Amino acid sequence: MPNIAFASQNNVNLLGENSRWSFDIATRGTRNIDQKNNAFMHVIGLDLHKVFSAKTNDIGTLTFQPYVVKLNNVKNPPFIFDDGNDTQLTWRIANFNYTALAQGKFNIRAGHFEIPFGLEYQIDTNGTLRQLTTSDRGIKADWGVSINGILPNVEYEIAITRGSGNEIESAGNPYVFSGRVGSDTTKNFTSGFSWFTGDVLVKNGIVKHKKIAFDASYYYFQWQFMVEASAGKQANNSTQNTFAEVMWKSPQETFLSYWQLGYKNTSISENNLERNVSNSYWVTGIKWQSINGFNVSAQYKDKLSNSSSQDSILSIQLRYRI
Amino acid sequence: MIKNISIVTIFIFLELVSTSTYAAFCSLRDPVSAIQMLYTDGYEFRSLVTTVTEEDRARVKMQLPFTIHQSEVGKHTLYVVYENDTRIGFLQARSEWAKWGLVEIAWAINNDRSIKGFYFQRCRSPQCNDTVSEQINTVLKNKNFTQLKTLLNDNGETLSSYGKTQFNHAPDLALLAIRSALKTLAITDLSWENDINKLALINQSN
Repeated sequence: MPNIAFASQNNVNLLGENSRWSFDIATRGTRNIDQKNNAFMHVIGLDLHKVFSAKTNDIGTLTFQPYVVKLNNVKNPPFIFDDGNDTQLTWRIANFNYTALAQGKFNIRAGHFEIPFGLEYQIDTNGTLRQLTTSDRGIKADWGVSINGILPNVEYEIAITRGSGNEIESAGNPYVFSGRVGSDTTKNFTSGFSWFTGDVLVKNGIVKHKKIAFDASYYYFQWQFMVEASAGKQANNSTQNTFAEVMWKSPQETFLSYWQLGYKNTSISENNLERNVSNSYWVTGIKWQSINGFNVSAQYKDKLSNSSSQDSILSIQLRYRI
Repeated sequence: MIKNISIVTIFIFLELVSTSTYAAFCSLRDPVSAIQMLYTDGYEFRSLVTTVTEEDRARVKMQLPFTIHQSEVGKHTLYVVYENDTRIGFLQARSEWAKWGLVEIAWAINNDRSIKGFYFQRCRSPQCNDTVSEQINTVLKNKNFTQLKTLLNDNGETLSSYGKTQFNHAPDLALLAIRSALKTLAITDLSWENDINKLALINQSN
């Protein structure tokens, strides 16, 4: 089986030199324990990566990840789906990063890419149960352009994007101006400063966001500690978010487990009165990676206090990369 | 009982497989920091992706008492480094297993296949600090395949008595680095030989 899998990848150069491709298949089951609802999501996608090169330098990198997503009995699906049983073509990453200008110090990216903000900048959580703080902003990846690069001891990406997420839509004239400037991610301690401002397209229009964040990560043997704190305004209400995660990986990194805590406080002004609404949750999850690209993961998310609106949710995902 | 043992055996085997092979390609990043650390300004680099095969893995084993792991069979990138349109060397990033997790080392290789230097792109032990890295780099610098082998015992599992005299600090990390350097030099010529030669012809036609 592994030889067959590798043969399909390695012996067929669909896009010429310096290219890689893979199929990505996943199925996810989610049990909302409070609402006694089972929902499913099935995904199949292409993961394609090609570096275009000249004689003595690289010109740029194409990353192309179209995914077909089928929902089944999903309550409150993302607005790009017509209903909880819809099927849609989605884009995870689909961009070209032009790298020929300064050997990686100054690149220009165009297409669909992850919004550079906080911990998400350095961790790939696409297609995984484990998520960080994207839900705070309501948008994970977006269409647009960015400048990005790695300088000695500094990494940065600054982006202007459409604000509409999966599809390019101009309704409500959304946009997002975001960026992160951080320290060298090859070190065991990294930190960064981010900003996110703009109007994000949602089901019923746009939501105004303006926030700044600080994030830090520390790696100690098999342990990984991460925190992100942000503050700003969302829909003209003041918000503060904090997020922390501890992760442990087995020495071969085939097994990992993580614990997360999240807290959000929103000050809502109504009729000259101000009230605070807080929401807190905890998450624990595991993931096991087997040979042949097959992995299984499970996660449980629940409220931290009774005042929180978070439902108790158990999720299990099987994923296979060919 | 036999079935249970088989299941346990399979589980242990599966446990030995690195996850990095199956990461989404959007997580691939050029070793820009490593190149900045290992080369002075004025360089250019280009990627050379090739397939490391089972045969390459077996041929490494003919040159060394150890070889690359099965999970490393697949596509990998060698970076060819130029200055003023002239090739000045190569850079390859390799993952090695330590007892605390994967260590990723970027190796700069001179044209004559000696080691120019290395950079820890990822090492989760506090021992992987700049001081230790510089000490190991000093010993390995400009050593070729044959010279590096003299730092290890015949079985390749421990430092030789000569090697022990070279690494007073962090001998375990030095051992890991030497084994990584030897595998890198071996696999560079075995897996990329044709690509390097083809590219050299293209460059000559400039």
